[in-house]
Amino acid sequence: MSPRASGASQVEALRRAFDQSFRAPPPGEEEETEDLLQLRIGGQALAVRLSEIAGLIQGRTPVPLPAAAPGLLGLAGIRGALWPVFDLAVLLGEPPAQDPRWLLLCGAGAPVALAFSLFEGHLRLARSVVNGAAPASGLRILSIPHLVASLQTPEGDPP
Amino acid sequence: MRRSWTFGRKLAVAFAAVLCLLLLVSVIGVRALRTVVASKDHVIDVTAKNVLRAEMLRGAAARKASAARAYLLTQDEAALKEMKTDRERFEALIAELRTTLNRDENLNLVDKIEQDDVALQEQLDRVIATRKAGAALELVNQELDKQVLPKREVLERDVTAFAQLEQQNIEDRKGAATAAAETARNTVLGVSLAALLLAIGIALVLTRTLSQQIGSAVQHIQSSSNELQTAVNQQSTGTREQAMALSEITTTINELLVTSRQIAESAQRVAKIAEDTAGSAHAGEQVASRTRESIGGIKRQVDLIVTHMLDLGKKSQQIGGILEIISELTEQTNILAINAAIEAAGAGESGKRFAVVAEEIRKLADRVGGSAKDIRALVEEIRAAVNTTVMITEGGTKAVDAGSREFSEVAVALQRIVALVGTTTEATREIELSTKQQSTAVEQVNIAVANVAQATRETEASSSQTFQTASLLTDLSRELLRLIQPQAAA
Repeated sequence: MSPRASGASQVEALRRAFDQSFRAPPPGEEEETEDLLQLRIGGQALAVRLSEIAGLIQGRTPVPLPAAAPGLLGLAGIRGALWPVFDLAVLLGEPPAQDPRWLLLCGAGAPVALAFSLFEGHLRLARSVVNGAAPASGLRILSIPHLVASLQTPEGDPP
Repeated sequence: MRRSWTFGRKLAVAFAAVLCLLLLVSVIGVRALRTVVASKDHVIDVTAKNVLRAEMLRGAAARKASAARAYLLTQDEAALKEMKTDRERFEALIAELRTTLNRDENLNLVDKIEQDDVALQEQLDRVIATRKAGAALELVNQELDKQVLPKREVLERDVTAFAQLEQQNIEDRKGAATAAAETARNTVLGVSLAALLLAIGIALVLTRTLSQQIGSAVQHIQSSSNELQTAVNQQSTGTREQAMALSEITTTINELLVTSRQIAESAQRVAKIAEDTAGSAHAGEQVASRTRESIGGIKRQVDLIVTHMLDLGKKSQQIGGILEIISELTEQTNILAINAAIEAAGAGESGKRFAVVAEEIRKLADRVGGSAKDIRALVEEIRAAVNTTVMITEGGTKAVDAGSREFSEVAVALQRIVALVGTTTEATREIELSTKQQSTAVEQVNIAVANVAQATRETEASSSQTFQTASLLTDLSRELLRLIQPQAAA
């Protein structure tokens, strides 16, 4: 098969899938799914519930602050507001990330942005699978509210 | 006697010594014999004649007296003449005696006899004169008896004394001759005895010397004969081995001859092949020239390919840049879709349809991102292939340059090959000629070796004869040694 023929078939497949998505009925209630974002911290795959975050952006460089809070990288202006940015790897007890260009915006509670290096993609898994995810499966579900709550302890209040 | 003298010289000296002794004996004997003979001759020639002359004196005196008596008796003149004749004879005898005598005693006696005769003759002449005067015979007889007879007796006595003296002389000479003969005999005997002893001594010395030297020489000859036998045996063995070696040499030379002929034939073939090679090398040179021109064309084409490949690389880089933009857009779209999904989730039930759209946009962005990733991989492969092709092409260009240079070198090498092949052809012909000469020389060597083999066989035969001769020489030397030194030979 020539590359030109392969490219044409691939375009045809994309078009068919795109059209098929509009022909299909909306998903029923019989199977509840949950959207997740997969990222990698220190060589381990982590998943974050899409419902627990306020957004995902990249390419924002935080302004460093003269503060000694563990994992605090600085402040970043996002959507017209100042967000404190923490290194997610440091918060999880890993070494600091080399190039934390991705920012997870945690909207619930306090506005906190978590920086990490490697974003692997979007996942849609059955809720039962997400709730029963065991460390043996290689995918760890990270609870953002719990993490943000840990940041709001008296010793670790964000600035 | 000197050892360096030859046997002939030694024998000559010995015989010369003996001969000298014999000569000495002969000289002594001859001298003694001559002395004796001279003494005897003197006795016979002189003394005996003097005795005879004395007798003749006596006779002449008697005849003179008889003639005088006859004249006195007969007065015959003839008797006087006879008396005169007898007197002259008497005087002649006296004169002869004077010439033969050398002793004073004898000469004095002769002088006395002459004086006696003169006195007698005077008396006789006086008596005769008396007779002539006519005296009587008786008176004459008396006168004669008285005057003449005493004179005559004196004369007789002196002549007798002279005769006795000469007789005594004879006896003395005889005794002297006998003594001289005795002396000569004793001398000859002594010298002969000395010569005999000397000859015996010389014979003993000569015998001992010759025996020692000849014995030593014979022993040397015997030793040399034994060594000669050993040497001949070794020579015979060596000759047999030499004959075997010569046989092997002959075989080898024959093989060498065959090989030389094969080499000559091979040289001919090599010369032919060299000529063909020269033609091929010349053709190859032309082909190399044409190939060098073709390589120049290939080089130009390859340079063009490199240029196009570099353009292709630039285009690939541009495609990569566009893909970067697409990837960035895809990623941004994906992020927007995720954020839209988040917002849709926050919108509750009314946001579900929007969530579907956002999900489809996200999937589309994922697929576009995957396709962009594939395209990037393909572009990377294309760029890698282009780089590889450029590198290979540059390598090909260098290879073409090197090939062009090498073809130039090949052309030069082919020219040199043509020249060298010419030299090789010449050398091959020389080899062929030399090999033929070598074959001829090898044939001559083969003939020479055959001659040497024949000579070796003859040498072996002569060695056998030499061995027999050495054996005979040993036997002869042993026999000679036995003859010379029996105790040594035993």
